[in-house]
Amino acid sequence: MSAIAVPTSHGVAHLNDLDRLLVELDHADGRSALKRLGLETPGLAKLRAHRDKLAQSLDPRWLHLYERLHSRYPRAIAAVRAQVCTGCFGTLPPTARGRAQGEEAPICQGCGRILLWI
Amino acid sequence: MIIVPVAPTATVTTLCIPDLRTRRRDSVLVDLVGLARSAGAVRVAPPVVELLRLRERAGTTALGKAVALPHARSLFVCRPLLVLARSTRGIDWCEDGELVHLVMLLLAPAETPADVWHTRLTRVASLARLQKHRQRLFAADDAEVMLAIARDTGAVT
Repeated sequence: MSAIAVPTSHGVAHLNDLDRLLVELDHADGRSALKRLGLETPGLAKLRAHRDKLAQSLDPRWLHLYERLHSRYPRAIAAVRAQVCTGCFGTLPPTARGRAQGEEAPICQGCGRILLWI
Repeated sequence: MIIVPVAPTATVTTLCIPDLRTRRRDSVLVDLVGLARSAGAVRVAPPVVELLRLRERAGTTALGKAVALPHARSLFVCRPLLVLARSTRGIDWCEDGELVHLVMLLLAPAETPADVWHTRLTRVASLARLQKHRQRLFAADDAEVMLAIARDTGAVT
């Protein structure tokens, strides 16, 4: 398990949620699915501007790690449920939780995503 | 306000609220996500509320005919949840001035695949598409009747 200092995992998780929303609204399939429901998205530019502002507010170390992972995975962060990484669905070792509660950012040894314990 | 939590179905847990008191969209989102948190579907409420607000900023989720379908996939959501909430007084949802009387909040965990997500959205939207379904929902006496209607129409299993 590699690590960096952790100021706020929730902020980066929110950024990941927002990035996924942007991809969904920007992607042709997602757009057409929403259009069939009668939903338009004229405010995408506002959302992108908000995304940039949010990214600037994060700790640069977190942001750098996140951006690097995000270039590999659409979901750079994986929630942990029942000791399982929801990115690769690998079972995490019992020591992973203890490390996450320390000052280090937990990274899944299986897929390399940032792990989020909530 | 009477809330009937219903046993989780194979996929989506459903909560029904027959009469919302709040009249502003953002307050409604806070209330509904708070309920979702109480039901155990949301771990941390503020980022989910914020994501829903941002989704509204990208484009309103009001479907017309007094119905809104706010929705979000988030890392802070741990299981799929549908909240059907009715407001007799109406909610100021978007700038077009039409009041919303039925809110269908759909939440799902971040790992939900896009095709599954869009299928769920379509299914839930179908609940309010036909006038007869909407009228039955608006006329339902309580939360259990609302849920029965949602099941009848196939919006929830």
